[in-house]
Amino acid sequence: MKNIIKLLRKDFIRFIIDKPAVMLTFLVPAVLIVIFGSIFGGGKGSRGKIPIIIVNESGVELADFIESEIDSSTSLRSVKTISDDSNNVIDISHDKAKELVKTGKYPAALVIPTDFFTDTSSALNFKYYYDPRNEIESQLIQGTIQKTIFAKMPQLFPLLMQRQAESFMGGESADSFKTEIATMMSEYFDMDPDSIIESMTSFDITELTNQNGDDSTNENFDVISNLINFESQQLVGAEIKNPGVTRIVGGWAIMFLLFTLTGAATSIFEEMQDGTLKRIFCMPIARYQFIFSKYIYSISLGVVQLIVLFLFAYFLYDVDIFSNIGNLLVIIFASAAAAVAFGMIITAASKSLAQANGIATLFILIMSALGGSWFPVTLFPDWMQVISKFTLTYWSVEAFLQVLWRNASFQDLLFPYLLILILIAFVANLIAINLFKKRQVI
Amino acid sequence: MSNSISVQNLTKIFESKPFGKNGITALDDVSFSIEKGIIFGLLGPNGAGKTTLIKILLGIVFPSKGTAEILDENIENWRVRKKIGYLPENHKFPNYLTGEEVIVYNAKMSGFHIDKNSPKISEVLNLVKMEKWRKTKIKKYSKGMLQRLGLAQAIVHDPEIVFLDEPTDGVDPIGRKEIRDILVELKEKGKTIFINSHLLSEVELVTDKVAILNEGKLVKFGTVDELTVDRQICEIQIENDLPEETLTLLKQNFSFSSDNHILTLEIKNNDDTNKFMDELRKNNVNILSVNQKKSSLEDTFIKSLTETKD
Repeated sequence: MKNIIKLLRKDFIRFIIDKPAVMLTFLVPAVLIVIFGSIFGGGKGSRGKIPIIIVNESGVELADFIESEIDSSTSLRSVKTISDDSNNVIDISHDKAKELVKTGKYPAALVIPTDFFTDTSSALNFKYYYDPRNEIESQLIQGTIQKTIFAKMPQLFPLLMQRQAESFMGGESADSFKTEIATMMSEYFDMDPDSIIESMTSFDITELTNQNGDDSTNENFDVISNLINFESQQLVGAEIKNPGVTRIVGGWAIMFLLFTLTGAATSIFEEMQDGTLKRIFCMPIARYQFIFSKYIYSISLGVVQLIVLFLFAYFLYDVDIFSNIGNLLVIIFASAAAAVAFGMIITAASKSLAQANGIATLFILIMSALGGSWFPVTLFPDWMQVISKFTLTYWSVEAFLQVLWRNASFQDLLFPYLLILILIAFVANLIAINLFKKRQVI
Repeated sequence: MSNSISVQNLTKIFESKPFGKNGITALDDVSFSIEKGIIFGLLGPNGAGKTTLIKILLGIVFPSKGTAEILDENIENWRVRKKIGYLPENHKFPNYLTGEEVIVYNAKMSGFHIDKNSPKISEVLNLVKMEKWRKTKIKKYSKGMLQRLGLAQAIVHDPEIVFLDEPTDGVDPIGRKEIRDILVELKEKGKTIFINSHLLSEVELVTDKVAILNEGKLVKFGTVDELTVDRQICEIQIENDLPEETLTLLKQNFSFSSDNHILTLEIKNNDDTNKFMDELRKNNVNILSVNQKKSSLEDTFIKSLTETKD
């Protein structure tokens, strides 16, 4: 037994002194639990609301009511104004809403048009513009809007049915039908026929807006849905053959790119261990040449990896990579440069290969989770969305989406995506070089 | 004669913590010069600072203070390393390469234009007796073969200075003799050889000059003869036993012992040897030979370390 205790002690000591192992065992899962918990509602802090543009062109009270219902939604954040070039706050128009969705500024816009609900309407008219770049987000928006509107439909049902009947039978026939029904009912129930006709034709909208709708799924929805004219228009990505894979390929690509390139950068430690580095440093080679060659090698590896990955997506899943191939290559290169710079910082800051691998795994998993490789960033709490913008993963994922989903031009990519990726690469390299100098590697 | 290596007040302190004060002094104000065309041996116990000194001279680490020059150029000038060959201790070349590929790769990295068909490869591989294994992947090489290959790659680009870190490590006695012969041949060609080795007997056999480092300080520097000759002891061989009265007379003025016709004289003053021999001649003692006692390099090494401790 004593021997077993001694052996156990040895194993625990070995584990405790192995800081990367301790970090990977406890810190990485803990951080990921916090991130997952925050996304799926278990964590502290408000879950981020998905922004949606609301344009209310109708003057009717019912439109205002539906608008206010969406405003008070716990999942959606209504956006009705923007700042123009002169920094003046202006209302978003119908056309502007379409433009904002098309350019990727907002995922969707709900327009309540002028013909939303008139005196003769037999259905409620909505116009819905969307960009399903993010499947989960898109389904959430549509579901929330439909739920909000449909929840109030039972109260509107009689009026709209009546108007549809009038439309079907013609005005005179419908009046005659109503008169005969009223006469018959007055005979049986001893009522005034005029009051019966009045109750069949009048509709108090305030009655509807003062009631709480039934939020549960109603079996009458199929019938009710005929009473809503929900004109949806997908402004972006309608022509994409495989939207699912097109959406996610960039996120996964950057995550594996980070793993590969961090490994390439930390290979300096392997060269140190096997004596190659010592041999190289005593050759007529300047240190900057060594670091530069390592950098070019790593970027080349990253570029080849991403090209192979995208070709894989093209051949297997019909992801269109060739219609915007030039810009895709630019983003591949910029992402690889930023990822290599990240790997260089890890290498320069670490004292051993094990430490470098531990730190790299921690940061890559956290950046991937926060940066949108795994989930849409819009699902995160607000504070987490702010943090995500400080990760290179976020900018790379967004840039790939711009290229593959939106077919963005070079000008569209340049600011902010490309510039930020280049800036990340530049700043990270400066830090890495400074650390290398401090440690006298260069 | 101009120097091939020159170091002045070389100091290296490894900081234990960032901005920490408790650094480890690996080299402490070391200064020496090595002229061209000699075999130089660097000696010292573990942790003496030998590896640090070699790393500084090769540009692998940077000194904290002081300067070092190789072939009259500051070591900060990386181009000077074209003139340097290096056999690292426990070197590991990529094991998917063949012997000739290792030679070609290292030659190219050293700025020497060469290809697999270059006669220079055969020349160096023949020199280290590895020609017949040139096409074999080095993962099949024994330790001795790897060491020979390491020596070949260190000299293939015809460097002016060759640094050898434990060059005979893992090599059998015949191989060690062959390596010593190669070193002598290189020396005859005017190359400077810088050897770091624990095998003092090996070093003693080939080196012209030796430096002994201990605790980062240079404790001995000079030719092997200078360091191994013990100037305090003189051995005088005589033909017959000393007569009793002569022995008594000499004992009054000199400190010596007598054993089997060998008189071992302890020299206290510079002219003690001459005076002692004059006395012997005066007493008709026939002198056969006079030698200053020589200790081994190992004795000198251990003595140096002991003196430093005291």
